[in-house]
Amino acid sequence: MKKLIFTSVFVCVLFGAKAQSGYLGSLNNISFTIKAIPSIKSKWSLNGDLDETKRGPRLAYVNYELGYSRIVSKKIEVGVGYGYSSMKAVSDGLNYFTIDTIQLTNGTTEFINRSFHFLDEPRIDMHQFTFDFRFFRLGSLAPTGKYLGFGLEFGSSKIKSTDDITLGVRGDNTKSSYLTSKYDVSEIRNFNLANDSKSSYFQINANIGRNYPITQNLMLGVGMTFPIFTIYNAVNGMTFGFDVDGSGNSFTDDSNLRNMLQYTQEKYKRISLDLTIKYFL
Amino acid sequence: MSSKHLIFLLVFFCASTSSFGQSEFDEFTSLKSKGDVPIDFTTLSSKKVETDINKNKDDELDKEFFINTRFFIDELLLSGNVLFNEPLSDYVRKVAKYTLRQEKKLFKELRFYVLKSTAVNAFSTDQGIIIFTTGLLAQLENEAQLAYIIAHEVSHYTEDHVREGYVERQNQKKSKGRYKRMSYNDAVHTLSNYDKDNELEADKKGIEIYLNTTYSVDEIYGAFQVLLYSYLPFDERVFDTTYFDTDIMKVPGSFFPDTINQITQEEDYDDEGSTHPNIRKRIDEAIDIIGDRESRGDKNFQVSEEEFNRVKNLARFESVNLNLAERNYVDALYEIFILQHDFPDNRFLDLSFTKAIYGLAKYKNHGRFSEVTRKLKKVEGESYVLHGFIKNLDRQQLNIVAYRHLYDMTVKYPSDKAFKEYFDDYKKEFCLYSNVDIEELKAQNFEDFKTDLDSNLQTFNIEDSIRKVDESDLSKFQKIKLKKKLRALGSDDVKISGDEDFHLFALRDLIVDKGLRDDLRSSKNTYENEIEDEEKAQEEAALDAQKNGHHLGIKKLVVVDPIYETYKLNADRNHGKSEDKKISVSHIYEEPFRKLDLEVDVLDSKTMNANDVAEYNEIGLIKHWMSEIVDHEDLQMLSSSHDKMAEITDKYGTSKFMFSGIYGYKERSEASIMHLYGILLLYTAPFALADLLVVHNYFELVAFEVDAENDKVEFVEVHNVNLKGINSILRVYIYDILHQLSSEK
Repeated sequence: MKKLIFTSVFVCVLFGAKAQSGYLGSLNNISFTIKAIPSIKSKWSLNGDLDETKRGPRLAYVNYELGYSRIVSKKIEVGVGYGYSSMKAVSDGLNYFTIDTIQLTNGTTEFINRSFHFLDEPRIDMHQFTFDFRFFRLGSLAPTGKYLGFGLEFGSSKIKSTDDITLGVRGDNTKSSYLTSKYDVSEIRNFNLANDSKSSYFQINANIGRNYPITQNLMLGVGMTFPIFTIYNAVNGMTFGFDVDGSGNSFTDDSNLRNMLQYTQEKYKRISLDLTIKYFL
Repeated sequence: MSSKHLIFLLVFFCASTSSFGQSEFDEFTSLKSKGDVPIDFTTLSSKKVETDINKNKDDELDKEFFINTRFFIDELLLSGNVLFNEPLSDYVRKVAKYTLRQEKKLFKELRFYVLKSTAVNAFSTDQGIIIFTTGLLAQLENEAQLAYIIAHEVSHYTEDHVREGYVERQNQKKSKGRYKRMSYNDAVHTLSNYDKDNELEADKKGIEIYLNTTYSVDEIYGAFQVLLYSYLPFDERVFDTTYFDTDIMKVPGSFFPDTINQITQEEDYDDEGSTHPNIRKRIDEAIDIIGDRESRGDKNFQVSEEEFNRVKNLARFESVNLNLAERNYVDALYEIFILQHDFPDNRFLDLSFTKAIYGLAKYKNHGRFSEVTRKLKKVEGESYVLHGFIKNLDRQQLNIVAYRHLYDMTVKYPSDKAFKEYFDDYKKEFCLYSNVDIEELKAQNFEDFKTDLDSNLQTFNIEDSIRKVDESDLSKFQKIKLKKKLRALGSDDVKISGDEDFHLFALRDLIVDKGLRDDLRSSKNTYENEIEDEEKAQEEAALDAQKNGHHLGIKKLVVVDPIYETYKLNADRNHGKSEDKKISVSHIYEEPFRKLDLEVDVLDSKTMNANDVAEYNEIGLIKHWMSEIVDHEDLQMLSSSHDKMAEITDKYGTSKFMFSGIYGYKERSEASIMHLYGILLLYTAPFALADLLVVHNYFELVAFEVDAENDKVEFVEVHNVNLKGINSILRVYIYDILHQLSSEK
């Protein structure tokens, strides 16, 4: 498969190079894309004094992508890109952590049996590499006008072991409005991950959009990306150990955290609205 | 000064004038405007609309009137076909000035122009523009007739017929006023009568003006007669059946029809549904108006008879040009025949003759003869003989007649490039497509052949020949065929004259003195190889163009008057926007694109100023040239304007001319089963609904490039695009076209 894609692109680029005028003579462009995935979820954050946790609106999941594209024929543009999202994990909708016991360093266990929430959702870095193929239709000449396309996307995300996971028990609701609400924090604990928590995915997506020329070098693109097929791969059998408050006391329960990583990826890999600025070389 | 000196000076002056006049026709190529371009041509139509709407005090006239009339007339003015500040329009103005000498204020309001057209017509607009066609000036017999037609058209202007006619049409369209509750047929009939009444009113007012002049009253009727027979050529002259004869080639008289279709047009023709009353009614009305009144004189000429004749002849020369461009080759030949009576050995007429006969042979060879000839039953008058003769010639005969004449012209004008170009191209045509068997061409004199034939026929024994056929080894069918022919020879009905073979002897001098047979044989081989190579190269180029676009390697290009037309959702033309966009598109073509190695000159009729008369003439000529090439379709031939394009090619330093048209329009999608599926599938419902509800913008871009060196269309590109034709988008498509034209493999 990889060979086929590579060969097709190579042939197109080599032999199709004179087939088109590109954008006012430019066949190559670099681009910066902001992808926004509409969200109806919330995000949780702690205030500075760590005595209050706030649920706020999460209007969109945002992804940034740098890309390079080449026009290979009058109707076709191909591109590769690197995308990055630095995001807060999505815990909303997941079950909270129920911690029954903590293994103390002295070998004994401390019985807790309490439910913990994410008071401040952990930061996740997601990196992805994309290959895009765009076919310009209804008379449009690549790279201007209307296109349909498909993309292949390989990506991974992780929660670094160096990051703290702040779990806690919510107290009274102190403020509530349509978009935000605040809670007292009745108990807070920091957990350190024993190792990085990773998840990867492969996605085939379709895209539709339109490019508008702005100047002789710049073009604005608006479009939508639709996932068609996605495989997620959270590393199986990995055990997540949590070190409580840096004390060495720990507990082992990876399921929710791993679910959260994949769940967050899923949210980021839904229908996205794409806004691109292309600079023609 | 002694009387001797005076006479000498007079003679000298007359001789100089006459030789100047003759030289004008000797050097004629086509009519051109001169001097400053009038303001009517350099003011934007939208500006005219705005000004005239602000000045308008007539509540019945809506904005649409000003938009439609101003844009329509400006399209005509900017076509490059309207003449100003040159002999024809100057003369019309002089006659108008005399005719309206008692209406000086009125005369100052009017502008007189001449339109290059074979139609016999004149018309006026509510703006005070009065246009006469060259077709009309070519037909008129004297200045008095022109004066009457001027008076008639001026009356349309003074009586506000254009404005009132518009209001009347609007009333009919909207069933208002007297059209209320009227059936469609009655409404059309009423409107037609309204138009006729306006014509009669213009006749009446025109006669009033005319009677104040010293022109002869009789010429009012003369003008009506000119209009009655305007469908005939500008003169009726018995066609000389030796016209195509040369020293070597004698065309037998049997090829020419013995009789002609008589002229049938009557004065009292049926004018039902027409905007003009028939000539009988107009003459009767004129008689009533004139009654016993007498005009102040009986002159046919007041301004200048000499100038009238000059103008008439110039118009007739231009008529030849126009007929050639419109591919009316036989009509052009008949006009040339008439004009050669007064202008023998005229280069323009000789070249036009070459073009006409070249065009006829080309169309005959490629099975498209009916496109350039008329049905004989529709031809009336003396030109019937010529039409009949051309129809009677078969392919080989026509080609040899053409070869003979085209060759002879190159001998008559040995250093004239134009004649040589037509002959060179035709020689190729002759070798490849004429179906003439080179071996059949005779070196013998045609008269000798006929004498030999007569004597052979007298001694020819048919029965003996039949017996010889019987005894021969020929096949059954060959024998039947031959014997049939031999028996027919014995019949009294069949007379063998040999006339049908006249063409085989028409090139005998070239065969004897110039080795024509060998020349044609070797040329044929060369052309066949050339064609084979060309076809192969074209095939490869077409395939390559399909894959990779064109790569013509052009370094300089002239873009000719780019068109932009945009239409509203209801399919009405958006005139104002079209004009703005046309100017924008011209500017895009002129932009210095950073990655394009191509110099572009744009000729744009909308951005002309008073000094751009040369550009105006060039636009007219190039459009004629291009339009004729388009009419030829896939028939590769030199256009009738080929020689005239040389001057423009030299001026711009390139022979590459491009034409482009962009047509923007809006449409709604029609509901289809796909929309239903789209709505049923929840996720695609917004798209399906949007597709149905949103008004879609489209534009179609057509561009083609022609090389004036050989009149070949080298490049054609059509884009049908579902995008709004904003400038930044158009720039991409224009760049793509220019890229294909300039890039090299």
